[in-house]
Amino acid sequence: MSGRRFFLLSILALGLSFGLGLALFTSKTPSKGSFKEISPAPSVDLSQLNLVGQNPTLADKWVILTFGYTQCPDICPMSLAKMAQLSQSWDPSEVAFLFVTIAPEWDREHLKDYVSAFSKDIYGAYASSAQLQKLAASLKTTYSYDSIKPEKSYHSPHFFLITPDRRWVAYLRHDEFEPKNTPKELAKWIEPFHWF
Amino acid sequence: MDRAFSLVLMMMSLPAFAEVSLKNSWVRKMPKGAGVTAVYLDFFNSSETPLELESIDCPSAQSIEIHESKIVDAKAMMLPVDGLTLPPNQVVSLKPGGLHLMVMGLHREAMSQKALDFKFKFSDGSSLTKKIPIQTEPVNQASP
Repeated sequence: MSGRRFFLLSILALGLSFGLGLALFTSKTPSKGSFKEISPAPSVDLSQLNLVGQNPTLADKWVILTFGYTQCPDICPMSLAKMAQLSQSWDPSEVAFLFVTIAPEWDREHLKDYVSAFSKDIYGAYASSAQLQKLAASLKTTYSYDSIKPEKSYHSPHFFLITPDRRWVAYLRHDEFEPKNTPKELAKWIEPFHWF
Repeated sequence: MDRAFSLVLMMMSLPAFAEVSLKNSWVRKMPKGAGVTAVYLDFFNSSETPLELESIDCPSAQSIEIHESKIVDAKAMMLPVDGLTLPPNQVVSLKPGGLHLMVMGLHREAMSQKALDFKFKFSDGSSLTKKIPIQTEPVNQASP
């Protein structure tokens, strides 16, 4: 091998190593407002949910799911406003945005008006208590609802990202949402699947 | 003498001047039929002594409590707060995702109005009435 060729190959190898190192470094340093990966990704059954909204269907869609209830005037409207902003970046045929109520008895009749006030692209969802508990368990979370004593009610603060084949792959806490970054970070999860 | 006595009586019958002022107040616009909403505002106590917020009334609602939203151990919850102390010459802020006034039993048409009336009473006997606008929170301010 000539000295010139060796020199060029060395430069190329050095450049590749640097590029790979940089890629590894940036991939291990999540930027603000990014979804956190769940690995291995558990399977999630959404087939038992009753959906309300504009032509609601989850078939072949990515799903962003959050829990809440309509009698919550602070955290839930904030997370729904963020969800509404996220929904603007996606075609409703690709990504479904889902607000699952932890108070199905009360919310069943209020849910459609409630979610559509934030965005026509957000679906409301309710299920029986047993189905809801099963869903929460598969997302490794719990909830409680008390209509008399609101201080006894709680639910997950997360947006759950679920693939079209129903694997829970990532999550983001509502209050870590960044209006500029989070839509871009979400695209990093969903767009690579467009190649398959 | 009679005149001075009358003056004192007159002054005693005047409502106490509130040393608390409000800023940046707004009522969260909720979807129709929600039955609840939250109010956010800044209290400023301009007096030299601490004051307690003793009561809040709104003719468009059944009851109002002070609540605080918290995320504890991956659980989002709202906890009632027992009273609110306003330290002298300080601002106490009630903001989305934290302390707020929880308005319950909202009258059916309340959210069709542009503003709601509130009356605040403080521990020095003073009170403050305020018409607070109903508005939607801008998304870029949605993070607490």
